[in-house]
Amino acid sequence: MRQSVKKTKRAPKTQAPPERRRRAGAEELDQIDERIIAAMRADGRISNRDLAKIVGVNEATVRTRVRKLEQSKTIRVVALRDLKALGFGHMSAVGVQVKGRSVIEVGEDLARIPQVMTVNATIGAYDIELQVVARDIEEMAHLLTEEVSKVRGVARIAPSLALKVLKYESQWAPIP
Amino acid sequence: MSKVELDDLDLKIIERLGEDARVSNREIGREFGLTEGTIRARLRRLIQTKTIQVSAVTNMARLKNPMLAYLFIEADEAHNVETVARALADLPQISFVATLLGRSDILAMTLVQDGNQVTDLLHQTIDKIPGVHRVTYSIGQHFMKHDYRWCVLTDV
Repeated sequence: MRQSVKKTKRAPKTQAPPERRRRAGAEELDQIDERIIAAMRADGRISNRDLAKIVGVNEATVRTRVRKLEQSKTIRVVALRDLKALGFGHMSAVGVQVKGRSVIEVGEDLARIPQVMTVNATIGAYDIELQVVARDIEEMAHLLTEEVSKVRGVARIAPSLALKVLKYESQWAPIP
Repeated sequence: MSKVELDDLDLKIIERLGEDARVSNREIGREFGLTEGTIRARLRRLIQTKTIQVSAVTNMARLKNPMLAYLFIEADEAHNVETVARALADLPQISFVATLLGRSDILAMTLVQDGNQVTDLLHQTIDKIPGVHRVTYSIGQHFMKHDYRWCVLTDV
């Protein structure tokens, strides 16, 4: 299982300034870009020729536009993998209460657990929200009791188990 | 639910397309020492069986101040949980919906750009769904890890 762990493992606690994070992929898009993105959301493998037909420009323009959209990190066209098809039949949404250590440090340690899919610092009843996946209940039990709970600074966890996932889309995401 | 057996080649193709899915079948074939036709056939099967979906993901950084809202929703009566979950899943602005054991009946997630958007969504849309009893929420401030290549294509 590969994941896009934030690459600042050893960086100081402070995050990149928000202005910098915001600027990545924030180029102005015109109608042509928007139509290209919409078509590639429906089918990321669509040929440049078919894209050109849909958008109403020539193939060379499409090729240039797609490359620019990808290079500016506005979009990434990738294979999205179904969790169950890849064997991850169980998902848990876990609230984490942090004590005696910074939320960022605890979050970075939690992010190193491969089955922890997402780590988000939150404002609410808990300091961090996680999504954890596992192949079976035994693995989930192990992850929650032996791994997540044992990260230094984790005071309490509020776990839950997804009975049925009705929707899980990834149209918007942080692209590092 | 997909019960497709995946072999090493399938996993290699999925991994390769997880990096960049605009690569041609011919190029993947060349990298793996296989024909374009083999790659094309495997890819068609992976997509048809809903093992993967190839799609454009847009950078959240394009939004002004993107925050992921986690909405924990309780239904008024147990038999309404599934109906409420379906109604939530029908809302285009909601990206994730699951029925839960434990913290609440349902967890829904939505990307918002400010606090007003959360309250608007709660009061004008979610509170009006029949069967919604109570909503508590958390606001995600900062993603420390997010593998956007995961999704659910088969459970719906």
